[in-house]
Amino acid sequence: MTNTPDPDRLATSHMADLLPEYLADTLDTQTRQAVRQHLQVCAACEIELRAWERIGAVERERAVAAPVPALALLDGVWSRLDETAMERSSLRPAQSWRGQGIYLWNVVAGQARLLRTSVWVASAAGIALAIAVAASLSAEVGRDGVLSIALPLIAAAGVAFLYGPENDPGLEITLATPTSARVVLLSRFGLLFAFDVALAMLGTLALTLLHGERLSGGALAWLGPMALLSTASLAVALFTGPAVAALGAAVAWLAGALRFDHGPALRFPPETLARMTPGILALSVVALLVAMVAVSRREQFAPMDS
Amino acid sequence: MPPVPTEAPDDEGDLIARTAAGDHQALTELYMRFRGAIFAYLLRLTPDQHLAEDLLQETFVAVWKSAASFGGRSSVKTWLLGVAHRQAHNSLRRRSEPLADEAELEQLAARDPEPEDAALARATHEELLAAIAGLSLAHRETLALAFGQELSAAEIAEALAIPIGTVRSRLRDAKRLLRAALSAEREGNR
Repeated sequence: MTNTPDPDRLATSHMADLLPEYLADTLDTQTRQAVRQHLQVCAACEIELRAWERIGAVERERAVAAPVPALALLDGVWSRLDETAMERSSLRPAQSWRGQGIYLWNVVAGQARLLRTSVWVASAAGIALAIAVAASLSAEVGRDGVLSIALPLIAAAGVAFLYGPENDPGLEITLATPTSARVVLLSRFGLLFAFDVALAMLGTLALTLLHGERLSGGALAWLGPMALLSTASLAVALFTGPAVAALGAAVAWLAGALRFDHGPALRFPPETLARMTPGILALSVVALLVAMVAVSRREQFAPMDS
Repeated sequence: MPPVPTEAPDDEGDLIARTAAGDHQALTELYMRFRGAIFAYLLRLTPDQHLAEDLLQETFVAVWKSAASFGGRSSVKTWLLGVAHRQAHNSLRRRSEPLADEAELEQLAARDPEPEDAALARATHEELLAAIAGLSLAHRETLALAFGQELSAAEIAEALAIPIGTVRSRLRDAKRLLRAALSAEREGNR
């Protein structure tokens, strides 16, 4: 490069910059014409153009020689797009019903694995024992009564031990996931409650078949109390811990059944809770809502040491 | 010099609009039309064919996601090559592929002797191919876009998101560096 500005040289240099485009034929007509005229009188640019022709030929040859990529590669594009959509949906529940269904199923199935085995075993053993005792009694001596005393208490006790750091060493990790504490609690409760109801139903059905009777509303008198006592126990457990909740549920249940008609006696189920009425259902839902609010506040303000 | 007007042909612009609206068929059509050009460009950035295929897929994933940002200022091909450029640079940077150090290259180019392009014109095809392979990514891709894809300087500027002056200086520097590499080789062989 020279330091003295030479008009001819500047003009040459300017044209030299346009040579690649001249060669690739991407200049507008007027500029192209000017370059063409310049090339006729400038030997340096003519040589430079030859150099560009060699470079251009190599690049064009490489472009033509490149294989055409397979159409199948587009499948990879779609699956990558699906993956990114899945990643997004795993951070928050999916928008579609199907996606939400899959999400909920994953949460519930995950919680089933996290629940302590002893909760399942104790619940199943308690229900089996109650059914066995009831089986030894006739309908007249209070078979249904035994069931309606025992089954709600067993369910309420199991539910009290569902949640909280004292029951679940992995809770800290569970709460670190994007799944909310409410959803975790609700799916745990739903799982255990459905398990208890299914076992109790099977037992009751077996009992009626054993005695050659038809399944009557009275035989399922435990269902209403079981729902209310379980949800109440869940809500209380979040405030007091599992032991107090289980004990409290038992005391409340027995107190509700205490009668002094002919001296002190227990009558099960208490008349007001005799079967699954809309009122009991509503009260159960309220208890469950209290539990949801309680667990949200608890994990929000004191996640580890409560 | 005014840049050559390169409006997108209507049906190609329409393909981008339909892609932005979520039309799978439109993206497939774009792929069918431009896969060869984009793949050829990517193969000039990396000799690894599997990596180039991967980058091609990443490019069309990005096209699907960002089709709405196509403003119609450039041709569809230029826009697609620009998307491929960004994907390739993000990916190659992650894989710590050496990228051009602009300042160093400017100095190198400035130190070069006066043009003796006859040496360049005499070089064989293979010698030139090897010399181009030794250039930085920025220079390689500018050459590939200018001659392999036959984009104008204005279109290259658009695709690479750099000023048009930088496109021209990159081409100039690429040629100087090629000449230096080829003459060094001749010296070595002598």
